[in-house]
Amino acid sequence: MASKTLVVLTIILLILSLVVLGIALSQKVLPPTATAEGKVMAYVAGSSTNQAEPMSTTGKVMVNVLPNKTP
Amino acid sequence: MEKSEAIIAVLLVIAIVASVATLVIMNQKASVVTGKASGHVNASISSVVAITLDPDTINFGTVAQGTTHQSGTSGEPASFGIENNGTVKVNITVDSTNPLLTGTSPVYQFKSSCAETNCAAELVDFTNFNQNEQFAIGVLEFAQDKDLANVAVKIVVPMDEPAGSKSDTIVFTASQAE
Repeated sequence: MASKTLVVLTIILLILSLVVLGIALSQKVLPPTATAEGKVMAYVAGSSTNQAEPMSTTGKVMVNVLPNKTP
Repeated sequence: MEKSEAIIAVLLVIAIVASVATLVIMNQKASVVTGKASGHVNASISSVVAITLDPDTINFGTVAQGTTHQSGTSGEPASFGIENNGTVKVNITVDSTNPLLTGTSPVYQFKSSCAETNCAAELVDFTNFNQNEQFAIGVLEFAQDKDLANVAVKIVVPMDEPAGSKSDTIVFTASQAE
């Protein structure tokens, strides 16, 4: 009787071990993975959709003319 | 050994092998678990037109009638210095406000030149100011080593030029070249 119980328990242990092994194998076959996507976007100045406003600045030309010495 | 003991022994061996195999596999799986993160990088460079004028004044000082003066030459004031401080290439125009000299056949001209190699399209020959917007510099770069240009001014004072101080304001306008 005792040996029968031992056989049943051993079979249960074997089944549990095989189930756990099966789970482990399935995860090994399809390991968890993750994919990553990276994007680098740069808007380069100068396109027709981003025309910069003109800019103005001023300079000055100066001169002081001497009186004519000749009569 | 009884038959049942042999069965138990076999089953136990199988269970032990399965357990050990499970431990090995789980250990390997733990070592290969990785994580990745995704991210986006955005960079915008805005188009900015910006120029500075240094020097912004050409003062020929006191001159006599019948004399010729050209900025940037020996004994004369420096020419206008234009630097592109923006983020785009620019075209530059000049617009003289008044004729400066009022005698007979005065000469009041300008020309442009690159202060750094290959910085822009130049206006090589002296050109009369005509009090309208005129081309001065084409495609002035914005890169630091080639963003400088000069605008020189030349005057020939007529013999009948009235004495006195004269001045003219020149408007430099930069617009995006491309």
